[in-house]
Amino acid sequence: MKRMAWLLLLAFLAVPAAAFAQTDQLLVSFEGFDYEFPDVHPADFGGVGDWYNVVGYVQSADPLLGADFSTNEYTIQFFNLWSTGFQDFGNFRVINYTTGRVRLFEDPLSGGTHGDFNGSAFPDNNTAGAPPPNDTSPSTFNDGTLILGGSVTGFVITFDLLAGTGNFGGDVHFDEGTKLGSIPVDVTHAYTFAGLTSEGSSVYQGYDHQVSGEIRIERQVPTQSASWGKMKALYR
Amino acid sequence: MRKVLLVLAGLAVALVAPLAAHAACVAPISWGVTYATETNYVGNISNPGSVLTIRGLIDCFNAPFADLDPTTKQYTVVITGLVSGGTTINPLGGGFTNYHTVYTGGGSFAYYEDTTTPADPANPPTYSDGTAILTGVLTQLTVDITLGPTGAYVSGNFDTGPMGSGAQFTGGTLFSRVSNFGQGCPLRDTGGWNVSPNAHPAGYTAEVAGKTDIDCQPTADKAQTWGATKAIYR
Repeated sequence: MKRMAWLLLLAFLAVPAAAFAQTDQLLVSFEGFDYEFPDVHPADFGGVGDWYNVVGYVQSADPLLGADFSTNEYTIQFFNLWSTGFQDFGNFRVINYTTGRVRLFEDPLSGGTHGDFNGSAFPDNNTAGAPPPNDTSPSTFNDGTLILGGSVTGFVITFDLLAGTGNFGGDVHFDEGTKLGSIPVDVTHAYTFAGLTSEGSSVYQGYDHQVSGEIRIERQVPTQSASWGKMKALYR
Repeated sequence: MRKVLLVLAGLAVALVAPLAAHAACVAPISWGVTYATETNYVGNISNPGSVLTIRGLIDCFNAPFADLDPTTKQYTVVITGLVSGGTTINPLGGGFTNYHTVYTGGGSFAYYEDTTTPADPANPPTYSDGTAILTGVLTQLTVDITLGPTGAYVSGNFDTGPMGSGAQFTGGTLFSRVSNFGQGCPLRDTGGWNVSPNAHPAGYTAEVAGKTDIDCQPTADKAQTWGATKAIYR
């Protein structure tokens, strides 16, 4: 009877607990600034109908994207995120958005256009210090080669109105770009998150917050079922 | 004359060529892969007294550190000694929930430059070896996490507080770049905070997308006559 119980237990252990294990890896990290345009409610961040935008630099990328930071600048743009309204809970504001898009661009360091947040200072178009959109933003962040882009769903900003800091999060569904084929087929989920800071000394005129975040991918790594005997044999 | 012009033209081209072969960034110090850990933390709850440690890589520098190249040397950041006051849970409606934790106490930080030992999350001393290029103190760090209706991670951020609220440089081999007349400049560490379970290695509680902003602007002056100055003391 006791032997039967052991056999049943071993048979149970030989059944794979899960066919796949989940991994979560950094695809890109980014840093930039956000702004609202069109801004229907300039006095109220996240008002219904305000469009949320982010422009910034990609600082690092997973090798699978084949990014070469020694010859190229990589930039990021979030756009088409339209506020459907906010609710305040104490000092926390939660803002929900329609489906928007995120895009990553590659632009050569030599001969390309450096991402410029605050407008060119050329005498013929002196808009330096102009709030976005201006003559260089977002245009110098969405030029070059579109290497990866996708829709962003479930995008939410949670903001502490007292502290002037907050965060955003959303799911990413890649569907365009020259590197689209580099995204592994076993990716089950991609998401983005970032911290937002409205530190006056570090936010350019016309932008709302400094943004520091990432896009990450979750992948299914296949597992292999084996009996305890086979498992033990691996270590003999 | 033509040779001189060619030399000058060559010099001009050299001057406008990119100086660093690494990524562009916004903040003076941008963190790369970074993880947080605590001594008493379960299920997104930091218990009172839990001590926070953050260990990370630096992947991008800007002025006044634009000459540092994280592709040729390894730069790391370590934050230690901040103590949790406990996590408060705030319902946000729509099924969303905020987890709010404030860490205070005698926190400290250091940035290291290392050319020998690669940082390994499983081997914490590999983050704090090499030369301490910057050191300082932190008095507070706040973490906010948003979880969705299913309890899954949605987003999060951290913040050491506004410039001048306590975080300050105190030393390091590059202290002269972040000080005025020997007085360390204020700084502010902020960024994303990710508690998605698979985003960090075992033994850590969060994955962090951070950066360090520095405010080394000298105090503003005000022009006035000697008479007005003397009047202050009368």
